[in-house]
Amino acid sequence: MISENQKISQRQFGRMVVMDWLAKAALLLPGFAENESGRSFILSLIAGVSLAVAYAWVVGWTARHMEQGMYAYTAERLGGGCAKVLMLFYFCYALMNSVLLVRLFGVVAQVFVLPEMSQSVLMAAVVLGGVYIISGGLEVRARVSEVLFSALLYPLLFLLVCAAFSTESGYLGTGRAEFSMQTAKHGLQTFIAFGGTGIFLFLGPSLNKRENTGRTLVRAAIVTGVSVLALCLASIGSFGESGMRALPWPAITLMSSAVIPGSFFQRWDVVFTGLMLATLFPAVGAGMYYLKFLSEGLMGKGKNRGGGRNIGIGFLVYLFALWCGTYDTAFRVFTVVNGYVCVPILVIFTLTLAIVECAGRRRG
Amino acid sequence: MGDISTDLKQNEKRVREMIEGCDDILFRPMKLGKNKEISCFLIYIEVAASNMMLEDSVIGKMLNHMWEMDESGIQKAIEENSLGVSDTKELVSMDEAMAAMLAGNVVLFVDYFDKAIKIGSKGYPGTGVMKADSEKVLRGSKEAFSESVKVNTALIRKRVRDTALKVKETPLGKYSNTMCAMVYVDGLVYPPILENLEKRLEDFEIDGVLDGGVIEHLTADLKYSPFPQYQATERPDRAAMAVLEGRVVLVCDNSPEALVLPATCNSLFQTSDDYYRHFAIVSFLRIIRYMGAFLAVSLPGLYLAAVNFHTQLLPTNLIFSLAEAREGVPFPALVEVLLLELSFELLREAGLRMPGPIGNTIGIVGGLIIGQAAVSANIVSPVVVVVVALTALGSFAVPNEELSEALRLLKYLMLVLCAGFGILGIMFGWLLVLIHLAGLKSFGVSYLMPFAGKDANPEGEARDSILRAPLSRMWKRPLFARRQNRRRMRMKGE
Repeated sequence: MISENQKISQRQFGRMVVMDWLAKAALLLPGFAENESGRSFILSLIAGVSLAVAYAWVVGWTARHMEQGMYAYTAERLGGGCAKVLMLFYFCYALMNSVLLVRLFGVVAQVFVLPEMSQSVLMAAVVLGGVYIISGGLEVRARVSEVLFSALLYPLLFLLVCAAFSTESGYLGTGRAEFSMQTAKHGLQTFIAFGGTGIFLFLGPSLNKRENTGRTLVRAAIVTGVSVLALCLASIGSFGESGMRALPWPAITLMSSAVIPGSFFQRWDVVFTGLMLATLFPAVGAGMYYLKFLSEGLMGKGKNRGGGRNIGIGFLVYLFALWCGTYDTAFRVFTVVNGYVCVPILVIFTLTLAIVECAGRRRG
Repeated sequence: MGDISTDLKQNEKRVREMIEGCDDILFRPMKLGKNKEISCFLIYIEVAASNMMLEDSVIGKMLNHMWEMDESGIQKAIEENSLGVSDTKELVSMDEAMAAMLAGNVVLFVDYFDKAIKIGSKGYPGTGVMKADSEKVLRGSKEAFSESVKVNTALIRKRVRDTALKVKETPLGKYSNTMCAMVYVDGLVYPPILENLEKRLEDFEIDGVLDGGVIEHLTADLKYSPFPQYQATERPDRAAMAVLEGRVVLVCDNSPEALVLPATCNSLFQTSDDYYRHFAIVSFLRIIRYMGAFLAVSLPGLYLAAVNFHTQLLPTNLIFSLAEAREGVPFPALVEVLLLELSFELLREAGLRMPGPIGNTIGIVGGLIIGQAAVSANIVSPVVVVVVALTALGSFAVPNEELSEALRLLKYLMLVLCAGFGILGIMFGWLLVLIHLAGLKSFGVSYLMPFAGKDANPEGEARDSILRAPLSRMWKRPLFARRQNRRRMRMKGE
């Protein structure tokens, strides 16, 4: 039938990728501004986003040449054991990513929207939503992202433009842009936020017009990168470098200060945070979807229709999030596990795959 | 039950056995020919057959002729239908004969003739073609479907006068034998949708199909979803538009509404006069309808969120006036909203079940007097009355009644979520609805088309969604029309 081909279009894929990245990047990346001048910070962001764009191109190129699923493809080129290990690392990456996002949701929702509500309840709500979204499969996730993209990102863009009117050009001109070790470190941290790009290789067989995957991924990385850059520039322009360092979530504070002439609402923080949290929602769903997908690859699909597995994945993410205790702990665990272990290994794996594929093609 | 015998006595015995105890079915033996030597009998349902003695009824005319003919010529006249009666058909088995009689025809058995003759008569009593009541429009036809499948298919054919319009009849219901017809345009319909529908109709056996709604709920893709997966319409022009888009229309005897499939969320916000009016005003009205739907679901929840959790959102003077209005109301905001919402539902239900004029009065009395009295008695605050009234207006702006009902249900889910999570409740609620709709399909077509999957057919339904393009730009049929035949319009010179 028309909508039952288990495939998603490149447009849906692109929007899904932006939705997976944007909220996380917008909330996490400004936090890397510590101990740096605003200009150096922007330089590090540009470096990190450029790396992410290049990596996205490599991933897209590899996906284009994948005839079969990621596991079979890796097993064919690098051996079965290697493929299993790779999936294990991806599982670990997706788990930490989901845990961080769930924690992020909990803390942002509590601080800005519902101060009297327990974070555990808020996290449970988002995890339950994630379970519901993964029960629909990839097509449902793609449709949700496609609709949310327009419904959330255009209002966010509008708020950003309104907030940008409060920027002081003087704040942007202070400090010097130097490419120091600190800048390189922050560039790499920025890249880590996009580092799981290789996970999209698992979607290869489900994409229509696979030859355009690289272009879609690069576009998505540029859209996300440029949005985050604009947000950071506006934040620096509004709060100055020291203000950026002092604020836990400069993006939300920035949007809260947006002045919309003739508008009804007095404060926008609740509305903006609501929109931002709504973009985190599909990102949590994405992380849990990959966990389900990878667990099926590692342990087999099983006889039931996946309901038990979905709930199991939800429990796993929720328990890990609770175990972390606070958002800061979750962030530290994410940085160590994903930043220092999983992302480098997965990037090397993906690059190796691309090199092997390239060499194979040259040999004909 | 076997074939019809040449021995009339044997046929009579079998027929009498079958209609025993059916006092509404009449058995009328008679003799035909000048000398009254040929025996025959008629069976028919009392009110479904015309007066046989009258010259202006088909059956009367036929019998009058046969009484004047020679005996030798009667059989030949029947075989060759030389009397020129338009609606006759030869029936070879007793099953066919009974089915024809139960469908409201007269069936004639003649001695020495091994077939029965179905003679079309006035049929069962029905309401006839009336004015559209629930899908009123400013421009366009005022006709509505009747309760007869034959009349309804004719109303569609009146608008699509081409033999490519196919009408496939199938009886449904073990005892009701309700005639249902699938109407579609051959060459435009996507064949798997038609095959899927045929298969689904075969997939169930039920005692009776008393309305199209029974079929709708037995063949829906997702049976627990409150959202309509068929588009019900009482307008023949809407049905004709649907078949020209490559959709299938299912009409059912005794049902004054046709079911259009596949249905999408977008199609449920469209009305037939959307295509008769200027695109700018139509686009504007559609935005209003979507806003109405949003308000119908979210407004009470938003009120709760603003009053209970996020008062800082609102301007200070509004907060004060809200607080002032709520002064003296003994209930928490949630109870207050629920109380008034449920009272409104009660009024709506009462108004619907009461006879016409009294129903309207109940609405006015309920809305104005009880609302005013409740405010004066400090049971609810005036703001809540405004919120509930706007919510109701929002739900009335949705053109499809089934969708409006689904939104009414969702409103309560939203209320509960907002009572717990404030504005996040609205977010959670709409995300859950979105996920649900993203997984919902109507005959394999995504319910969110074209909001999701827009690139699959960008010149098609994407130009007929919240905003409607000028008619000259809507040259392509929707995605579910047959792929090789998606162009529906060509301007001269193109």
